Amino acid sequence: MSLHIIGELINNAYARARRAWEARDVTGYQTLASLQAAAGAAAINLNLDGTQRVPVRQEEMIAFLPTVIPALQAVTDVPLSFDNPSLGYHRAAIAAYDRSRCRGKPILNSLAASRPELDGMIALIRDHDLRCIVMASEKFLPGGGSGQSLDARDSHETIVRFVDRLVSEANRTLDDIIVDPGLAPVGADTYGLINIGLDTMRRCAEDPQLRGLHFSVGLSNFAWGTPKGIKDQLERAYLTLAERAGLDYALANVEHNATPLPDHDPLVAELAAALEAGRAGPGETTEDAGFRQAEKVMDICNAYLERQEAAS
Amino acid sequence: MPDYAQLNQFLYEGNAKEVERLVREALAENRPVDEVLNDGLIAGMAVVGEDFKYSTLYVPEVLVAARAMKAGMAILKPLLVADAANHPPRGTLIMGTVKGDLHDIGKNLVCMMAEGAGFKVVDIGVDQPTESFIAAARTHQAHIVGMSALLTTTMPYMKVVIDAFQNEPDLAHVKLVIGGAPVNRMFADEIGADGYGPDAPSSVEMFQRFMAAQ
Repeated sequence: MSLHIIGELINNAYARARRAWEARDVTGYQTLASLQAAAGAAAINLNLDGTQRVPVRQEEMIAFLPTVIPALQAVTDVPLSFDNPSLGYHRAAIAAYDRSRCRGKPILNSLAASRPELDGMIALIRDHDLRCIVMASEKFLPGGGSGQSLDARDSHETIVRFVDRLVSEANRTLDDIIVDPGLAPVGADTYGLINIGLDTMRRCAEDPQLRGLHFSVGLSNFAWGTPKGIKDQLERAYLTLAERAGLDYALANVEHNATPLPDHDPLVAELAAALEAGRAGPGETTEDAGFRQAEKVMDICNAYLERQEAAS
Repeated sequence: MPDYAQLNQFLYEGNAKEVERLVREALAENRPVDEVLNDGLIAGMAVVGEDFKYSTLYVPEVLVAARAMKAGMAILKPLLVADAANHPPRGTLIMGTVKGDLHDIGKNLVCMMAEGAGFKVVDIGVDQPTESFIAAARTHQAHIVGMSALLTTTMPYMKVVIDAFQNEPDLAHVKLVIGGAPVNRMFADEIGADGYGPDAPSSVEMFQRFMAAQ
């Protein structure tokens, strides 16, 4: 199994994307698309969200889609992944998208229990033969509404529910569905979300009805708040563990060698131990366990950086 | 006299056991609870916040320091509660993620650091409608209400909350502040927020400024 990367560079969190947005410079976007395609991205994510540095309104994004999407398609036939929680964005994106210029299906990113326009999104997936990303980190509450999924059983239930709807109402195969099992920053994981995500993938692997489903995470979340010198390696160590659990996609920076570390790399075992330490024991809160995980992670960071310094 | 500098250092290093020991020793020396809280714990967390802001400390270290702070607070809290009239918190803060949004990692970090700065923090959770913010502000006599959002589609709801507070004259004194990945100062100004927190330490500094101005 090889890991497929959904390139994340078209996102205003990155300076190049921000500059392209501010100037509505399609050439800048084309450069980002081309370099990700050349690096082997399986799909290119299109996220125009605002950040603390650049404010963006929903209507501004939607207004720009008919310009930017054909421009991206002019330089690559890699499928686009449209990243936004609103139906209006996805309708506009699909309207601007030329399927004949794309190898493979575009991706609707994403469906989640909290989306108010789920029915419309599922209809759009059906009508336009889209793949989709499903967030398993939110669950449907009995009697309506949604909440955070803080247990792998709940996440599995959410996945089964979405799969049922997508297969029966949108004629999807499991190959069309990519599940995001959830990922938190490893140093601030006070709900145990990383273990929940891994356990969710393991649980799905044991469910014969879910065979063929894909899994993806937003990788840059993982090492947020850790020292710069180890971020990439921590992400790669996570990929090794997650790949074992069933991960086969990652929304990631193609320029950062987002590949799993070899199984025997010491960082993999160290990270696995830190995540095990992050499981709450009897009578313990997930916050207590999250603090312990944070402590172990910092130990890993310090030891790694010392090793690097000694080696240089 | 307790060695508060040492206590600050243990807190900074996240050594919960030593923080507990020094807090107990200070109380055994009959030092005032306020003094132990302010000079021992809050002063230590202030350095944590500052170093985090300037990237000298990393997120996992902040969490470990917060754990040590909690260990010390667990000893002081019963004493503070028993004599609440003489030990008011530095301010009362309501924190929540707005309706339609289930993200809260940033919010939780702000809560931890605000507690570390001596605030009473009431975290009302994620996916919260206007009514919950208003009810919590009233019930807990809040000084500040903080709203968080991660999604471009949910951040407009912050304006809904702010507009709703305008119709509650008894809450006119409450400062309404916002934060979250897609939010920025321009948006805060546009929707009439009293403040904007770009990160957890800056948010706590803003809360402190509001309290100092009251």
